[in-house]
Amino acid sequence: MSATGSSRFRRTAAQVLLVQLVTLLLLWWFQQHFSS
Amino acid sequence: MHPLNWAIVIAYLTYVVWDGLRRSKDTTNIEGYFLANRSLPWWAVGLSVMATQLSAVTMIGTTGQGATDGMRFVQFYFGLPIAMVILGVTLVPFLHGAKVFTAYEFLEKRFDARTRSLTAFLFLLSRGMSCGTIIAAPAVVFSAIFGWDLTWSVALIGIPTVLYTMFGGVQAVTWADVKQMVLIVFALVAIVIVLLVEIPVSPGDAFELAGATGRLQVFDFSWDMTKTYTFWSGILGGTFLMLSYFGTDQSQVQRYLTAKSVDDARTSLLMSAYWKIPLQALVLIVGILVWVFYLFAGGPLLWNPAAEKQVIAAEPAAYQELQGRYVSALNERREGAHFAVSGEHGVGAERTRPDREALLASEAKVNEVRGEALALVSKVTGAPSRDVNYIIPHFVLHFLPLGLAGIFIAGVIAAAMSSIAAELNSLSTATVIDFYRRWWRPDGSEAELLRVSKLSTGLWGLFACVVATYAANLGSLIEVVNRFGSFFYGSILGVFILAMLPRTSGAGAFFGLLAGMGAVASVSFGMPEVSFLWHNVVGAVAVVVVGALISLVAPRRPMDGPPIGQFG
Repeated sequence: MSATGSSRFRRTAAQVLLVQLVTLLLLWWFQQHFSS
Repeated sequence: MHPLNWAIVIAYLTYVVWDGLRRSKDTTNIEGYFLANRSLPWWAVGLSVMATQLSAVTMIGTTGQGATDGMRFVQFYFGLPIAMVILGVTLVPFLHGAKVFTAYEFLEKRFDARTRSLTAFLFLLSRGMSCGTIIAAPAVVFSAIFGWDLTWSVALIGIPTVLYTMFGGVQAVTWADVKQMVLIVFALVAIVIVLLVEIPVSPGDAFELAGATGRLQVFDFSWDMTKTYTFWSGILGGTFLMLSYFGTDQSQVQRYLTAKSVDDARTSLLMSAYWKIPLQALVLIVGILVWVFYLFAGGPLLWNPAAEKQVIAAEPAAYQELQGRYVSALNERREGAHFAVSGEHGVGAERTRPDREALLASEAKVNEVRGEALALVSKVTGAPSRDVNYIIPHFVLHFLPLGLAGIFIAGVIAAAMSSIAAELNSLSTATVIDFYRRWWRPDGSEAELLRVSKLSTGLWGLFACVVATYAANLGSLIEVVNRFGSFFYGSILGVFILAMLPRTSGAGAFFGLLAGMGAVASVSFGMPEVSFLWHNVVGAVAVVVVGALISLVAPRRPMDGPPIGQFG
């Protein structure tokens, strides 16, 4: 197994980071929309 | 509480214990007892990882924090997904591949026995104590709301957990975690639905009211290290904390050591990374919606009924006066809320500040009166009030429909049990593997080790229950648990980072660890205003720097194991 793991792990890890980015953006929108 | 709700709670407790005891039949050796013979699927391990982290404090303390402080606490978890990905490529494959029982056992392979023993000892010390506080958190609340003696509340949570953990081992712990996680999420979603139905304004208006009072303020980008929850403390301090917690704390490491392959172990952590922030946001939103609910429904001056009784008995006149002002402030706030959502300046985004001023002014009055009431509680009881932990239980007991209250209380107990069970299981593992088998009985038979493992689980359970009975007056339920860990966490993470570096030695790891703990202690006592989340960064960096320097002076000996990257 390579240092960065299997291709399944790399794919899932990339998805996780992408989903978190989207979650943060959603939270940002939530904050701005209701707090303004 | 209605008998049907109690029936649900009792049925749940009976089922968990029965299911755990049933699984004890399959366990005949310590690998099965502690690691389920490394056979569990990623999704079960992932749910177990999440259930272990989510304690009753989350269900009652964090929801209460959502009601009073809003969403900002979610920043605490911003580092978690990053930490999980880092662990997936660093520690997890090596810990799983090294076929060890504990993370500390691995350190002996890489460094030496004293580093292993010291880290295992620190784990036992901090987790042994924190296990007690995890039982105490819901037990104190149950005692206050149901009027029970604290010992009974501790027994209600502690005894069933000790039973299924002691006899069923990690199989019972993991499969109970799976069901408990389902129950917890169901209870949280159900309470959100009930709140959205019961609140007399639309969901959009409800969030707008919360937003008007700053409760939907998620992000704080300031670099102020005295603030506990900021974006940066979450991303940096949080990443270090989560790396330490998931990478070096046996209560979590043991979850993924049970996975049937390295890939399953990694995926289980990524599953938690996927869901943690949304789940935590859901928990806080429950609190925020409960606050909106009480904006219209009123609510008591003091949420803790036991504290309220004491204050009424000791200071009746002062309480009466505060109560009068509180009711008047509540009425003003209710009118302010109505005005804010139906103000003359339009709807939605067109609403302007003037509509919210009455709400904000009356909210400030409510908070002022409550502040005085809480000071009165502290004066009467001699202890700081933890009133925030009673907001959600008040809603659950007075406003949730029949049956759902029982499910929510069972969910709180489930959250407590899942964390306690994982901790007892891992405390026993470290005791038996890192001390009993390592130092006293290296040639002990499987039967003997299994017997000692069960006994050790029972004794740790007893210890945790005793600590819980006396830990009732420890500080904030939310932060005490994290604070205990942060004294050692960063430093132990530093040791594992050293293990990944070439040419670092056992002496460097051992003395680096001592230096790291010294650094954290000096920051903690010398600069108490620095938020505890930064302690992990300080500890890890100090260990790596001092450890690397010492390794230059005292290089690796032939008996030191290879660096982490060269295992497996």
